[in-house]
Amino acid sequence: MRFNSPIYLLFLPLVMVAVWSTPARARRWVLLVASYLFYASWHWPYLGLLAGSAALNHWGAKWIVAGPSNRKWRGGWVLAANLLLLAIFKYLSWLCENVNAVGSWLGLEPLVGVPRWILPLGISFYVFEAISYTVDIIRKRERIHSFWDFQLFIAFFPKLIAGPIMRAKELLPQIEHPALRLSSTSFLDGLWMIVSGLFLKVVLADGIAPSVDQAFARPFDSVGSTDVWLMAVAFGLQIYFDFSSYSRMAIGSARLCGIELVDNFNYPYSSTSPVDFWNRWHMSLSRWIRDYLFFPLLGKKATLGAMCRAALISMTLCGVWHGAGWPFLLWGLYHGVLIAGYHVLTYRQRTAAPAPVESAPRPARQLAAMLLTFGLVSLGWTLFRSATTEQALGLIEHALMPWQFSYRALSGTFYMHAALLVLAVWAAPGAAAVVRRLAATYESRAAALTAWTAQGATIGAMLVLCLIYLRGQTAFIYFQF
Amino acid sequence: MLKADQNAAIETGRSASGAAQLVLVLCVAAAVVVLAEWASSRLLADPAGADAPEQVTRPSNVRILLKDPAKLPAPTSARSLWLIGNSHTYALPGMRQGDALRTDEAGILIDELAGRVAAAHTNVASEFYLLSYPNFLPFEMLTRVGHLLYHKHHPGVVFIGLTWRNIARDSQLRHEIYQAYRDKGFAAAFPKMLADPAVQAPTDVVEQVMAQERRVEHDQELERLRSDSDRLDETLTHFAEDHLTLMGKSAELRANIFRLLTDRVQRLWDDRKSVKYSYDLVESDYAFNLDCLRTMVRLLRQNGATVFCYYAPERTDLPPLMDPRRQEEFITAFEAEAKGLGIAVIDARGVVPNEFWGWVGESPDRSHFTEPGHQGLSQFLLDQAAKQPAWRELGAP
Repeated sequence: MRFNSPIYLLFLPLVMVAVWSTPARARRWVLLVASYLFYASWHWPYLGLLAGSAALNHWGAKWIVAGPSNRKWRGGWVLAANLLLLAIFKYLSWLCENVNAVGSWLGLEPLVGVPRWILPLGISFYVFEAISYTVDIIRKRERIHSFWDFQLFIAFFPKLIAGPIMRAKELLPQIEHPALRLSSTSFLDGLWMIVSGLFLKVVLADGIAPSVDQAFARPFDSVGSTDVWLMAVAFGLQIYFDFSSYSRMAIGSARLCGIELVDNFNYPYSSTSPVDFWNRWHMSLSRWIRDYLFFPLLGKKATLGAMCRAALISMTLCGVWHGAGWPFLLWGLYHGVLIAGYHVLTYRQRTAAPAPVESAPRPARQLAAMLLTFGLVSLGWTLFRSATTEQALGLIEHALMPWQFSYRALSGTFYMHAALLVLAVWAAPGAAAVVRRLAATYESRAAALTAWTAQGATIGAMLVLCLIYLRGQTAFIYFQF
Repeated sequence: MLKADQNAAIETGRSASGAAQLVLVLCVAAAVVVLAEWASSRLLADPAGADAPEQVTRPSNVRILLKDPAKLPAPTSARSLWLIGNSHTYALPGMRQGDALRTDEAGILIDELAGRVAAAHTNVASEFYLLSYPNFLPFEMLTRVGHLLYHKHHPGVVFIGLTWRNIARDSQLRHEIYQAYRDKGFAAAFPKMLADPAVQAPTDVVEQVMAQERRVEHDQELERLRSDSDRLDETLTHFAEDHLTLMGKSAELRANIFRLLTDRVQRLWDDRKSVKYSYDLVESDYAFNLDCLRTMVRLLRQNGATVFCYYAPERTDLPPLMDPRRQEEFITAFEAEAKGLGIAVIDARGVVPNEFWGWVGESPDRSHFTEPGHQGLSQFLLDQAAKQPAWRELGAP
């Protein structure tokens, strides 16, 4: 069941009605049943895997707590079980293919059979949530919750398939102490998030997707340097709209059920450095990587070498988390290099100099930093989107050698489409600030009525465009992770 | 106590204000949707009588071949005349520029007005096949020809229209086209046809076919993984399409929005004076297209067809869209190769005078002619064909 499908638009109101017509204490049961139904509608046999994974971590946590002297050792086993689950379902096929590829290179017949099972939807997300809970238990920052509350924490349907990746301390208290009622403001906020998310997915992401798919389906040597930059930027826009739309709809859906999820995006293409980018892009994953990988790898002494090493390792693993394939690994490594490079360039400035006097940011410098970051991040998307390492490296070569690949193979319409979207994305933070300022300043009844009418008209217009641009149920990109 | 009362009053006020906001926002949003639905149903309403199928009077021996394999005509033992080419050649001969195109069931643009084909030009005893689509690329042509041959159609004389832009660069996704008219038997037979020593398909062509096959398998796998919820979604979507103009006629609405947003800007882009040539030759596409063309010619020759390739007419009153020097290089090389391939090459670039070209809105049309233009080109080509013995075998006068 996808958020952009008609069946979900029937499912959600039914769940809402059921939730708010049930006493607060029993609401968790409604949400748990709804979440199981939501997951089973895709491939019911994997519901057992989801529930089993949650059960494993719940009982694992109890086992860890029961042996205070062996906390780390027992925790290690529970973490290993989680990683094993991920390895079997997500990485085993890739591993077998690589073994066979090495064998073939040595002139041998295929050495192992490649398992062809379906990747369980959302496994990367719910396993990471389970891992964070187990680590927090080991660190004594989390306690044991009821079995069924923990099941709901893992399976809560709005964030189950593609996040945001929640922490136990953020979600479980809301499950244990549910909101008493749904205010009209919360309802309107939730509705706004869902409709605007649907618009981002159906109109913007799916609108540019065919051109992107067509361009990446071409042999890489048939596209020129500017074409590669276009493909990179266009895919960057597509994945941003696609993923942020999912997050918005997840947050909106959860809000309508009385649960608040964390934000996942904060205008990432306005970032002024690679570190800034990761503080704004897929924020729930970034902080997971930071807290459970980067900081432990960094150790107690934050030397430049340790920071670079931690950045390289954690970002490479972040790349592999996204998908089992060399292009993903290269993409993660690329971002590790960018972050390490940023640390090298700014380390002295940050550590040696006395606390700088606050000065106004220099717009030209900010703009240059933003454009440079945007260019570097966009270039990285070619690695992420490429089907093979050969294609990824070929495209990067073309992008970086404009004098050699000066022709233009892609259509002018595609260039124009991407350019308009880039301008819209860059204008969005400014536009949002203006709207916020206006909303904060209206005092008269007439001004309020005008603002509400405008809000209603915007929602209506977005719905109209969604109806026009809905072309079948296209999957969200992050579903494959 | 007073403070608590004040807070309660503020909270109640907020709540009342929030409820009013909610009601107003929902009402306005619903009104916008209803208004848009009403406007689109009026805008896209079919004029009275438009539902009745257009009467097409076409000679009985003329066939427009759809891409849907199920719609192929039954093969006959007699040899047929095939016209393969780009949109400028569609319904050759005798088409008028500006004649309406419409979408057939397979979603492919074809010209149903082929009934205007001059009787004299179709006065052949055997079948007359028209395979012409916008942006028809050599790979598609090759696959299409292979498909017809696999289904036991016998070409006698074949004209292949070569539009320089479609030779020099790829411009559309091949997979959708390939998938549209691929069937199971053909999928297995096509690689064998290409591997025939008389055809000698180059590696890049064979690899492209295999890549397309892999994608078809991938699509079939995705289809296999569809859940019941996906199927229910599809049913709900069809239901909504049947009852909402915004969804039911969304393709037309999208096309209108696209034109509104991009058409003029696109023309500005294409016709910029600051750019010497709007379209670059893409070396790898060019090499691949030539390989497809050669393979197709060999395939046709192996099946006993007489093949003519002609360079499509070009306007001379507008700056060229692509580098003419490279085009001359192509022509020189292709003509040198033609003898080895056993085909006749016809230069029809100057056959249609500038005054017989059409207009697209306010811009001169670079691809399509007026009716006299079509007549001129067809007469020229048929005069060339009439010199060949194969022409008489078709039963032509």
